[in-house]
Amino acid sequence: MIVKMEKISIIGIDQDKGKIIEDLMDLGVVEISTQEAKLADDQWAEMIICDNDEETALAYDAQMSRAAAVLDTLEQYSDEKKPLFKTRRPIQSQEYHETLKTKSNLSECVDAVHQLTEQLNHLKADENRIHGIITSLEPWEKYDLDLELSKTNVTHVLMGTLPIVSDPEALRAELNKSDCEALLQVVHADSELHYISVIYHQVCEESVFDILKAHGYTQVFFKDLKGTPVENISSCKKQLDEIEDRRTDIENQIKDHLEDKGDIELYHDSLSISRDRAKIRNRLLTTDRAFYLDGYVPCESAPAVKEKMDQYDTFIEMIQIEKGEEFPVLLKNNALVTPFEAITDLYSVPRSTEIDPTPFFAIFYLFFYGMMFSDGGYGVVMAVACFIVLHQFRLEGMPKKLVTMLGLCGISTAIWGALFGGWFGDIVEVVGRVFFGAEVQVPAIWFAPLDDPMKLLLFSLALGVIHLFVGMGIKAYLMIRDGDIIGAVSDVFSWYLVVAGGIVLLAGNMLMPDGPLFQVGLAMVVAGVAILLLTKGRGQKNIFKRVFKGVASLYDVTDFLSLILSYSRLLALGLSTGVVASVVNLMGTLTGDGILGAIVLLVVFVVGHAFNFAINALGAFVHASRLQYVEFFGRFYEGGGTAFEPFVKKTKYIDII
Amino acid sequence: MDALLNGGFTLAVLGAAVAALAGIGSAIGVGIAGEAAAGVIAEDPKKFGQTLVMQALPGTQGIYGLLVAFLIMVQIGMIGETQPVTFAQGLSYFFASLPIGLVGIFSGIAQGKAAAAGIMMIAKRPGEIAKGMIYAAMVETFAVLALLVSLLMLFNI
Repeated sequence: MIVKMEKISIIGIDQDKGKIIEDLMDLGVVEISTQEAKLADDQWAEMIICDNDEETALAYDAQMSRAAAVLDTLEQYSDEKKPLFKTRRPIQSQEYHETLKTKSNLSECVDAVHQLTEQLNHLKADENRIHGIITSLEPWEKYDLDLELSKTNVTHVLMGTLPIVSDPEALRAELNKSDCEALLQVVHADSELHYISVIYHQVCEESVFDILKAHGYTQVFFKDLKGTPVENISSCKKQLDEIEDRRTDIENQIKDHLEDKGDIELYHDSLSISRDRAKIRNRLLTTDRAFYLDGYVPCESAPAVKEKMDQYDTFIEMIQIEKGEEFPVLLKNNALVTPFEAITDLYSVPRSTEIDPTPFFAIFYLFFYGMMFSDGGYGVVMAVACFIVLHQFRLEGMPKKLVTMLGLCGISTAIWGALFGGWFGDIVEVVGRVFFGAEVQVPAIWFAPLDDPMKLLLFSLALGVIHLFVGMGIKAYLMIRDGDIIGAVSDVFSWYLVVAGGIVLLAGNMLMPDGPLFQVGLAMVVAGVAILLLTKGRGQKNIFKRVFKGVASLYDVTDFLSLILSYSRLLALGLSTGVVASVVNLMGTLTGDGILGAIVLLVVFVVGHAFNFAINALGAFVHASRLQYVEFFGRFYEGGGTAFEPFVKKTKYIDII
Repeated sequence: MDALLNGGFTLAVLGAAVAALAGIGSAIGVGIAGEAAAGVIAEDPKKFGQTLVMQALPGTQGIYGLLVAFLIMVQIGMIGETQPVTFAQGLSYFFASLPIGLVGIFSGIAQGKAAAAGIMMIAKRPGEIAKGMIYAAMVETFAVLALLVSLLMLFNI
C-alpha cells in the first residue's frame, strides 16, 4: 500500500527556527522539499531569500571525516572480531544526551588519535627513506673510505658504476697504459652494475674522465652522508630500531583510546545530526524575521506534527493532495508482505498514481521461490540460518527485509521439498541403500517431479496463467479507476477470454474431441477475438487503420504464449536442484560403505550441497524476481516514483530511540 | 551384450557427452564475467560479494548440461542397473541432448557478456545490482527452455 500524504507548510519566526528544526528531526516524519521553484519565481524572490548555513555544515563535515578516519584507525587496532553484519547500536535518547554532556572531551580525544596517526605516517615515511639509503649503500659495504672524502691535497676520489657489460679489468689496463696516475678499485658487482672507485692525481683529471666515459662510467654521489658505508648502514639500522620503538609506543597510545571507540562513534553521529540540521536550512526560505518551509507528511502522522508545532508561534497548514498530483512514495504493508518490498525497491518505487504491487506478488514470489529451490533440507537450512541472523543481529532497512524474505522463502522451500519428496536430494535413500542395505523411501507428499515432469510443467504454466491474470486484473482496476472502462475491456478482459478460452478449448479437446467443453472454449476465444477486433483500433479515426490495428493486436497472442511458457522455468530449475543434489549424493557414495565411505560421504555431502545450495538459492532468487519484473510488472507496473525521504537522524553507528 | 554391440548404448553415451558440453559455454561465460569483476575489484575491493554473485550467473548452463547428462546415464544404466538400449533409443538420447548441449554453449557465452556488463554497472551504481542480474537472467531463459526441451524429450524416450 502506498501511504497517503498531505502537503504541509510551516511559517515560523526566526528565533524558533533551531528548535523547530530539531523537533521536526525528532519526529522524523516530514519530508522537507527543496525550494528552487519558489526562488526562481519573481514574486517570491522579491520577499524571501534562501536560508543557508553552508559554513557550519562544512565545519561539521570536516570534523566528521576526522572522526571517521579515527574510527577507521581504531578499527585496525581493535582485537574484536568483525561482525557478519554491521548494525547500529540502539541507545536511549537520555543516555545519548548524557554521554555527550559528560564526555565533553571527545573532540580532543579524536584530535589526539588523529595526531598519533599522523605521527605514524611520518614514521612510515622516515622508515622508507632510511630503507632507501641502506639499499643504495649496501653495494658499497667494502668501500672503506669516508663517503664525504672527494679529494686530498693532490688527488681526487671518485665513486661510480659501470654497466655489467663493460669489463673493469680492461678499464684498469687502459688506465695503466695511459700516463695518468690512477688507482682503480672494484668494490662490488651485482647482476646489473660494477661498483668501482677511482683515485687519481688531479692533473690528469681530463684524460681519466675520457677513459671512464668510454667505458660507460656513471658517477654516484652520497649527499649529506659522513663516514664509511659500514658506519652509515649500522647507524641507519639503529635509526630503524628507534623508529620501531616509537611505533610500538604510539600504537600502544592509540590502543589506549580503544575504550573510547563507542563514545567516538556516538560523537561521530552527533556531528552527523548537527550537520544535517545545518544543511537542511538551504531548503528553508527566510525574510528578516520569519522563515518558511514546506514538504510532505503521511496523513497518519500529521496530527502529531501539528501538535508539536502548535507549541510555537507558527502558522501551519496541511492540504490534501489533489487527485493525479504526484507525491513522494512510502510503502506500508503488513508484517508478512513488508519483506517483499525489497523486491519492489530493487526494481523501482511505484509512482504515487500507481498501486503498490508488493501485496499482490508476495504470495507468488513465495510459491515460485519454493518450487525452484524445492528441497526440504535446503529450505530448513535457509530458514533457520535467516532467522538466527535476524535474532542475533539488529538489522534494519533493506538487509532486514531481504533476510526476512529469504527466511520466509526457506519455509516455502521446505514445504515444496516435502511435497516433492526431496531432502538433500535423495540422501536418505542413498544412505539407507549403501550403508544399511535397506530400501528406504521418503515418500513425496504430492509427487516426485522426475516421475511425472509433464504434470509439474502443466502446473507451472497454470500458476503462470494465474500470475499473469492477477497482473492484468490490476491493470484493469487501474484503468477503470481512471475512467477508461472500454480500455479495460479491450486490453484485459478480451485477453482473459482468449487465453482462458484457449485453455478450455485445448483441455476440452483432449477429454473429448469436439465435445461441449471444446465448444465453450471456442466460443470464449471467438468472443475475445471479436472484442479485440472491435475495440483495439478505437483511437483511430480512419476505418482501415482501425481494422488493421484490431487485426494486428491478434499477434499479441504470441506474446502471451511466450509469457506463459516462461513459467516452465519453475519446473526446470526445480528439477535442476533435485538432480544435482542426487549427483552429489551419488559421488559421495562411490567409495562404498564402511568408515572410509562414511567420511568421504560426509565431506562430499558438505562441500557438494553447499555448492548446490548457493548456486540454486541465487538462481531461485534471480528467476523468482525475474518472473515478477518481466512477466508480472510488465502487465501493469511502471515504477519510477520518488521515495519518501523524511528529515530524520541519519546515523551510522548508533540508533537513538 | 547385444545391447552394447548394436551401438545404441554408445550413442546414448555420446548424447550424455554432448549435453555436458554445455559447460563450455558456462566456462567461457564465467571467465568473461570474472575478468570484468577483477577489473572492478581493482578499484573497489568491497564489491567482491556483489561481483561474485553476478559472475556465478552464467554458470547454470553447465549445471543444466550435467543434469541432462546425468539423467541419460541413469536411464541407460551407466549408473544403477544396466538397461538394454536399442539403436533407435540411443539415437533419440543423442538428439535429446542436442538442445541443451548447443544452446548451453552459446547462451553461456552471451550471458557471460551480459553479466560482465552488469558488473561494470555495479562499479558505478552498486544499488542497481538487481537490474544487472535480471539482464543476465533474460539470456538464461533460453538455456532454461532448451533444458526443458531436452528433458521432455528424454522423459518420453
